[in-house]
Amino acid sequence: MSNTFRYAELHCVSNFTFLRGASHPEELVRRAVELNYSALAITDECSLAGVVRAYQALCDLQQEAENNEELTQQLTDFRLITGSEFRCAGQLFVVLVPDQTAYRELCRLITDCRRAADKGHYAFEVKQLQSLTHCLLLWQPQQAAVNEEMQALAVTLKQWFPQRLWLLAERMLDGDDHWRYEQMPDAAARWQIPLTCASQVHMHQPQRQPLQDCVTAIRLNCSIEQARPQLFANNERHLRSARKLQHLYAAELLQSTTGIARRCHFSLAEIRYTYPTDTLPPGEEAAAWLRRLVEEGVRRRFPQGIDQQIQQTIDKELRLIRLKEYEHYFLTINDIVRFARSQGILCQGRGSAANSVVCYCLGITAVNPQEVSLLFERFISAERHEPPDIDVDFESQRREEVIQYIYQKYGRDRAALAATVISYRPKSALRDVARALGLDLLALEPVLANFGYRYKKENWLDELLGQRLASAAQLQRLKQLVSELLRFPRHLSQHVGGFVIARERLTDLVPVENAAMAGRTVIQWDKEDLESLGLMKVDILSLGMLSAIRRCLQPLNITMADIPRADQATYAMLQRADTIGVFQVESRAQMNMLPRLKPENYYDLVVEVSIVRPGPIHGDMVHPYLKRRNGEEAADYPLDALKPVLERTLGVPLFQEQVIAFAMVAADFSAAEADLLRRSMASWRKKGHMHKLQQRLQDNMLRNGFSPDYIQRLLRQLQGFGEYGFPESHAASFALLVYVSAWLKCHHPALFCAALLNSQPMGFYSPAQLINDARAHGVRVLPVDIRHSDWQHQAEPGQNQPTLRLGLRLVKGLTEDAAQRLLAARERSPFLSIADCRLRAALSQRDSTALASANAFGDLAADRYQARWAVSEPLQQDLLSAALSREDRQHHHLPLLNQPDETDNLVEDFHSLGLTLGRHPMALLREQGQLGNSLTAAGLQQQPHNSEGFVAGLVTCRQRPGTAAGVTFVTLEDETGSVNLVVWLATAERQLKTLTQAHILQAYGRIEKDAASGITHVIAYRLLDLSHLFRGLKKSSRDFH
Amino acid sequence: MTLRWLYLLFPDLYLHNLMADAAHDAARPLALLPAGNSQHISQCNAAAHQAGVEADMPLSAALCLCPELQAVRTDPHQLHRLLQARALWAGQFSAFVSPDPPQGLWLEIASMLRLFGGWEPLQQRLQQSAGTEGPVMLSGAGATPLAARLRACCGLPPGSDQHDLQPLSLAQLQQGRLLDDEQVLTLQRLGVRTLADILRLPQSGLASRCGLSLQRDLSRLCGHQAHPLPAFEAPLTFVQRAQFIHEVEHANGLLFPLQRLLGRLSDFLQRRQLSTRLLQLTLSHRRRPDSEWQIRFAHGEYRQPELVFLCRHFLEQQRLPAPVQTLTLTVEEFVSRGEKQHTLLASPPSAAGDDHHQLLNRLGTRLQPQQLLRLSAIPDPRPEQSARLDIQQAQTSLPSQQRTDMAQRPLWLLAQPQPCPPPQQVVSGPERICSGWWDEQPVRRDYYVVLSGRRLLWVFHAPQGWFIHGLFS
Repeated sequence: MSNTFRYAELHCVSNFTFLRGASHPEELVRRAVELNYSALAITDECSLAGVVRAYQALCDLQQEAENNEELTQQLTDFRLITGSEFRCAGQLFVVLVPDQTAYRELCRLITDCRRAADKGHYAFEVKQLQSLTHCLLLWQPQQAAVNEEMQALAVTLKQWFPQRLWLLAERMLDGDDHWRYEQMPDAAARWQIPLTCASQVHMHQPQRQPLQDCVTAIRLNCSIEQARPQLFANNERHLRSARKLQHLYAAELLQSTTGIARRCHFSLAEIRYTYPTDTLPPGEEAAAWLRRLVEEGVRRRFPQGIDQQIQQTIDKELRLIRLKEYEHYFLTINDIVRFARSQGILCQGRGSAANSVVCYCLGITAVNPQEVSLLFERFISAERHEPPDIDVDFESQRREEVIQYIYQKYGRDRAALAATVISYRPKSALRDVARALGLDLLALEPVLANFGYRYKKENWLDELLGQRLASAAQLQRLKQLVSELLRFPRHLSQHVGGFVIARERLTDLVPVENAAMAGRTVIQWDKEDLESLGLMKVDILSLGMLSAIRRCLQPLNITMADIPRADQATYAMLQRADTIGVFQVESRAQMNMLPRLKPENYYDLVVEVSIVRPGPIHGDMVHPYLKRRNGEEAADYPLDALKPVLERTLGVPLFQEQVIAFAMVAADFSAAEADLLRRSMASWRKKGHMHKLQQRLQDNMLRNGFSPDYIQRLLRQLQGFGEYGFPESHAASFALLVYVSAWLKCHHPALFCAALLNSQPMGFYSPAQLINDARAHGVRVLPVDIRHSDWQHQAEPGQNQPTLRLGLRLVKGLTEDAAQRLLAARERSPFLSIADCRLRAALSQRDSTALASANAFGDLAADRYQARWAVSEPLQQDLLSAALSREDRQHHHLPLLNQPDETDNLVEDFHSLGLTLGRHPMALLREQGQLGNSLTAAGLQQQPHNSEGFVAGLVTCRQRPGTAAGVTFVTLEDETGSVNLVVWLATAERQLKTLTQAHILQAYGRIEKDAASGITHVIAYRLLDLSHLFRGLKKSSRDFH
Repeated sequence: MTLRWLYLLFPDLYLHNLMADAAHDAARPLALLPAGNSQHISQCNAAAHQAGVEADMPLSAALCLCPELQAVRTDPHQLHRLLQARALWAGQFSAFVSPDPPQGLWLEIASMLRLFGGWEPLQQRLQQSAGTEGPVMLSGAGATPLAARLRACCGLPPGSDQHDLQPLSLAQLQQGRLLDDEQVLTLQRLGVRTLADILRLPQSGLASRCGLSLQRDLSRLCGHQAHPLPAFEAPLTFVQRAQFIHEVEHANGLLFPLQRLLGRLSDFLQRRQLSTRLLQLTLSHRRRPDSEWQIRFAHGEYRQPELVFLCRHFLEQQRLPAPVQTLTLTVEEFVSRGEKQHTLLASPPSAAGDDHHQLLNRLGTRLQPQQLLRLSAIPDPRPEQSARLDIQQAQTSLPSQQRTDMAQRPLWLLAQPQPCPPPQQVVSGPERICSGWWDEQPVRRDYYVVLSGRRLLWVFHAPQGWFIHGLFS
């Protein structure tokens, strides 16, 4: 390649121009550098969604270039230009950004166009270009070439863009290319507009043409065959080589591109984000104000005073915050949290913020720094140039209030949600590519139906598509395209709760567009983009358990801080794994762990919530830890230097922080490397680094004398953390909620159950299971009754027994409005008859049928059939019949109707409420002798270890955790409790239909009891579907495949 | 009440036809999806059932159980045709047949019972005629159409009173299509279990809860109310026969009697505003099986002179296999005259269009339809794929969207590109065509318009060298 070659590609769309561009921004940047371009403009169509990734790719390249002479050479002077493409009536406009002012203009233009259209579209008119007083414009007139209209537009554009306008010539070598190209100099001369050239790049190399054709077909929602009129005739829209460019374009045209590029000195690095200052009272100085707030917090949090160590930590943190100028960030979050408090909305910080004493004092987090060892550096460090990340959980049912507060306080032009880039996953990629290739989708369904089970293997496509396609060539094409399309961005969605708040207009930083949800707007960048550019984000997350806890605390008139910390009864309950409904530790896996780990204090709970995670499990760290904890093995430290790091977990690394610290000590990682390692675990995009880091970790540890086996375990653990990172600080926050919810369950079971039911949907168990559990704990549960129930479930003061009255909200199909009318009418005077109730509460047919079905009319009707007959009678709404119905205290009884028997009532209960307070269906079946000699869940406990027998029950849960190879866990429920069934892969495959479809299941198998933990399993040999015994009873099982 | 109605139910009408048509291996699991978008299986064959597939199961679940399952979507038109064919067949047993889509038929049989001497013999004749190869047929007979259908669907013996219907469950009533899903749900929720329970309820109360249609159907079931049924009408056909006193020995000799038949056909078509594209001539001979001739036109025709003209051309080319005793003209396919027909020319004015149709029809009968081809443009970037020749009859391809970026193209494209030396005088180009990776015929070429002597040629350069591909006029 000649050294004299200078060229800047000024028109290039990435795959963030969804379903048009066929290369990732990263690929485009790398290729442009490789080809010795002097600049590359990423000009996605009315979007800046891809520019940060391009920018990040360039930063990565610069890092790689450190030891690479040639790369360094190529990167000198290489410029990444920000821009955007707009299309309108056959004309093309490419807007380029020379400086920061121009960048703001472009952001606003894109925002205007996007906000004026539905999600995924934009509305652009030529006259909008007038707002661009600093941007450069490349203009490609309609193909129809020189006419009066174009002439007029040329004059206008020249006025709007003095010295900033070029005509854009692009040679695509298609049909009329030659003719068009020859006309351009004429037009340029006539209009006196300089000419420049570009290649309308859609892909980084020509080999992407099939994928480009493919996404075109997907965009047009048809097959490639049908899309032929719209396909590009050739693959010229790629980053071209110097030779080709020189062959196609005149030298002065090529030169003009670099002239334009030189004028574009704007870089995304210049974006100076400034924190909002709204929360600072006038006349105050941020650092002093923050210090004052912290000091107030200290008095609140540590009424007995603080020791010197904590004071030092606070001082250190504040110094660091001052150094990094993060005061306003803390103040902003403090303000949001204070608002929530003032409204009685429970909230608690999670994640790495829990490492900070300042956050604890401000009340953002609730983890007492004295109880766990914290690493403030993990939160903020002087070396790291990325903003701290504070995630706050709010009550799920009231999070919207917080969001509205933010919008109201900062305005929509200063606050918006971050985007989440929805990308192609294996299934969606396979479906779309197959449709584009015109493959029969019905024939493909078998492939997709069985997909979930297998897609983790590397060669999943081979395995799945094996013999299903006509030709090897077809298969090859499909595989190639699917693997290329994987991870392609598909559209922008809204992040669960990541808010970006700016001091000035947000649209000066990044374009904002409409989200699918009405009234929501998102910025065009996702969380990682924000991180790359150092923008502040605050995560307003939602947590159902907080709602439930608030509901419990309110009537008790206490706060979380009032709950005694070391309650023996609570820990005893946890050790028994009696934890249905308790935060985090209610899953099967956690319930299996509790009796083994036997938590005795708060820190044990921190370990408990972290240990049943992919990281420690893949790293085989669970058993060594349990052994040491139970005293079967002594704690041991691979290196003395590691003792402080690993002491609290008995020498076994369990937390992400420990593994990182481990890497620094045992593998001589620098702080920067360790940080990179941490970030690599959080994001697949940095997987490339991950590989290198792992290699380094391995080499260094080997050199330092670790056994290969141990190293492999640690690597697996790292990979596990990548799947589901769970740092210690996060676990510490969660463990608090575990303890609080366990305490509430232990001491106020009726209240706790009502709170959980009123906070649905949340957690692992259905209302039926929660109520069964409450009854098992001595709670008296009263049925839904229009004369006594509220909308919510209520814990009623019982004489000597905790009592729970089911609320109207349990009635399926009853609207809350109707229920409120009913309650208001009841307030005035009690109901005399069903008709009276229907009339006075103005119940719709649907509402009253729902109530009748739920048998909620109590003794106003003899039974639910009679109630239904009564409510389905057209209502006479005149005064006379109203008066008569008031008189009519007798039940309308229609003797012609059958009476429901116990089974009928049971099935009806399940249909209308999702649960029954009558006898358990299995009790009925057992009484009828339908279950043979099946053991009850309670009876199972009496059986000897390793004996065999039958069990039977309603299937309440099927779970196939990724961590247990090939095992399906099934929970069977009967009238005495739950049976844990373990189905090995071979049995599952043999009896797949029974396993996946039965809702009443009988199983024969071996009973396995763990003496230490007291856990009993049944290993199933044979499964039997008994669903036919209860037709109409379709209890919903929660299936996690 | 008397036994008056017979109901025939063909539960696997579509599936049976599918398996017979495709010579489907019975051991291969097959499932039907209903017309529309539903992904729930409506029916499956025995092999699929064995593997655990059932009706109403989601397709994805079925495929989990039976990965080799083949799923086919029901074509409602085909189902309609199949039921029509059944109705035609049933016409031999009753003067009044009424189709009950999707897969049932009502037959009025009061008089047939007298003719055949009772239910048993009639039943036997029915089964005999249906044969063992046909689709499964269930039958039921009762005093009213709805009673007959209930009996057929629930497998009850014929009966003229309603006693044995009383214990039928809601599910059975639903199967017999007396109740729809919603009514079953409503009744179930009132604790109603059987037909007897329903009939016991106050009628007005029932109507206000399950709709008037149920009340009406119950009256019809019990014969309290008449049940009008639409009679089946056989599809339109035109059949006319000419009998010869003297055997005709030359094809031309058929023309005169045919003219008369065509006159009647023309009247027939005129009255109904139809035209036809297919005439079938059946010639009967003394000692040979009948000969069948088909005369096909590119466009619908109804005018007698033109029909005669076309038949004359046709007959001129034919040779009689043997002397003919009778000539039968049958027409079963009709085209509505208003229907727009696709033409070779973009949009011909109507008079010119008629002429143009006439020309094509005449050419067609003169040349054999297979010799008359239609050229259509395909929006494929590859020159050799951008046009297609179809047999004139196959009017399937709609005028498709064209590519907008086509440059000058020569009208005369060589069947095979011919190698040539590198051109000296390039007029324009290159035009790069690189496409077609999807169907094993990828193309990667640079095209040029070149001047060679006094001719303009279209040549391309490919990795294999230079080729001439077309000539400009």
